[in-house]
Amino acid sequence: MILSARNLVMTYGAGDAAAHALAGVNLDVDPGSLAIMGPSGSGKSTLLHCLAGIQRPTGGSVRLRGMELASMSDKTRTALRRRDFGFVFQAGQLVAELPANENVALPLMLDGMAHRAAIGRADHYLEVVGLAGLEGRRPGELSGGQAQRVAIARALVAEPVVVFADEPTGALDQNTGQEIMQVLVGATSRAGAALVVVTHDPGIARHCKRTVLMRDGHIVAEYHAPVTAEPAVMA
Amino acid sequence: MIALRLWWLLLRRQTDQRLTIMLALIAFGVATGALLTVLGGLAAFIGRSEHGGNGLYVLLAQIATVILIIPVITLGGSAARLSISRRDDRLAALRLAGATSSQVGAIAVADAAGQALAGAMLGVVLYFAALPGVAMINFEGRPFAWSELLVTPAVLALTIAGVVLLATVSAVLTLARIAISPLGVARRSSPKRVSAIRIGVALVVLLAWAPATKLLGSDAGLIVGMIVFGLCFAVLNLIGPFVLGLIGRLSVARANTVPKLLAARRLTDDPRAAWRPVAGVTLATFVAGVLSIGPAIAASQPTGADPESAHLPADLMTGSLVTLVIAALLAAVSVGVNQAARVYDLRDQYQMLHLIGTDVPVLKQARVRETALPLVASVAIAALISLIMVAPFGILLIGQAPGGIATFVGGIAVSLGLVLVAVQLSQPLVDRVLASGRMPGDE
Repeated sequence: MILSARNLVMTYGAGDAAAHALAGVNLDVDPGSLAIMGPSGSGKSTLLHCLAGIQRPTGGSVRLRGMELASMSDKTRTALRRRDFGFVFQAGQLVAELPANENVALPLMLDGMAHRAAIGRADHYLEVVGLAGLEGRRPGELSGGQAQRVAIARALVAEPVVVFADEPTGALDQNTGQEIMQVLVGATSRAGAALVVVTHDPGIARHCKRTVLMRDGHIVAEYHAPVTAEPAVMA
Repeated sequence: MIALRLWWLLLRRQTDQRLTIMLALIAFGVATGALLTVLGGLAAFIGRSEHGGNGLYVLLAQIATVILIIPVITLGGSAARLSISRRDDRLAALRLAGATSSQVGAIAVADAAGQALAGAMLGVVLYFAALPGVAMINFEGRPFAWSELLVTPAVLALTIAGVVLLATVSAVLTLARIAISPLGVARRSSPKRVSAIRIGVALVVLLAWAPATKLLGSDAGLIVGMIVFGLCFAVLNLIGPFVLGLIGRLSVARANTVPKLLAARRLTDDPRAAWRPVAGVTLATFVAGVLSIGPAIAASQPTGADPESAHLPADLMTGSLVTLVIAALLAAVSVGVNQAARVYDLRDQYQMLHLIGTDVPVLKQARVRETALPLVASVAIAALISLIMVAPFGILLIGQAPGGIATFVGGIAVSLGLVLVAVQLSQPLVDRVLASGRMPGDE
């Protein structure tokens, strides 16, 4: 087990106006791929943010290899995100002025690696995600699918233990989305990292070996095999 | 009509536009206030010359007006771009609601013009508020009377109309560079190269300056001289982005940290955009450089014999300082407005960089560096061009009048200080963006 969440609670507001995005969630993240599915407002993105140390939960705990995330300082959690986690989001994740390989090299350079060495490793990961030859292209010169591949390469370049992906195909057409999921699951698996994907799309979740379903801040079902049809709870 | 109603509805509901609107109002207001103050000063000197005052003061006031009118126009232009370029969501929503491209364009231009009008009104208030301070300044041995500094209602109306016209023209030019579709606003996708032809044009203009100074004695020559002076001023904006692009390309290879890399890449990607935030400081440096010869000229004037000219040396120094203060003020507002707007523009990037593990101090260091690199380069270019400008009058004269050097060095120090203050003042906005809980790409 890499990450474990116990009795996670996230409440916005107070009193009668209080909204419970997470209402006592327990979840273990093991090596392999995990999809967190649920309708809009079910708390799936909030769960990802808490697991990744982006948000502090209002209750409960998240432990990475035994270390409690909530008790860490902001600086320590930032370093943790840089070294141990990788991120792929729906949009707005590449620096427009940097070519693809420098976008990928960012986490390495942030950790002190020299430009030349970081670029060398970034070029390798761009090749892994099928973008050999496009290292010098800027985000504006890439298609949506290619930009997501760059984001995947950046998420993997620091050799993280967990890659978090929040609706990674949300801005892509269906075919490109399927391709991106294959690249994401394949590259993450080969890198030996765990993958946590948040999605509302069963077609995306079916790429993952394990799926949990959320509704109203609770995990309401869990499958230890790829989900091949839309679960009733999603309706 | 439906589009107009929707625009009004969105205008009232979009609270995140308040910062942009406030910044545009401040920029339009300060530009208008500075312009009216300068025109009021010019009117005062003209009035005094008609009642037996020294005519030379009118000429000097005209030169100061020419020097200051360009930063005023630059700031007004920035305000107009600011008021129109950060409305992507609203413009796209109007298209989605069925408005045609030209309807959306007209509404956007009207929006910018409306803000310019409101800002100009604020500027009128600032002008009247500044009158007591300006009236305390001594010229020709006596302070100004309030009535001397008041512009006529016609000048007031023309200034307001001019600011609105400037905003309208800038808005139309900005709109011409973007395509508004129902799904969003599309802009360029590849880096902008700045042509080396700029250097050639700049050289031609600078070479024309020395012969033009020979004509300054005659009335027609004065106009030619002022035109060439204005062109030399424009040369700054021609050379600046080109040199910044060059520095950026050289810096990329040596960038070993993320702040250095981001700063260098921003220069290579769009040198014009990198130049814009520091343009105000460049103008202040340029003004300080040109005015550095003022005390030297003053020192060379005969004193005592002609009572009309008795106050001239001291007044030249005072005039130089007043011009510099107004230029520095315009620079400060320009940098402040651009820095604050930039945080808003780059919020996705800041959130993403923090998310992937960038410490907040590193992020802030990157902001300082991406301003400092073009700033140092632009100040050096401005200093060099201003020295070329004063060279025909005898560059060695400057050394004989320490006041000129003090003005020049002081001007640069104040300008650099203003930029650092502006960057530091906008740093809390970064904290606010990071604390918002918004994810990159969220609307």
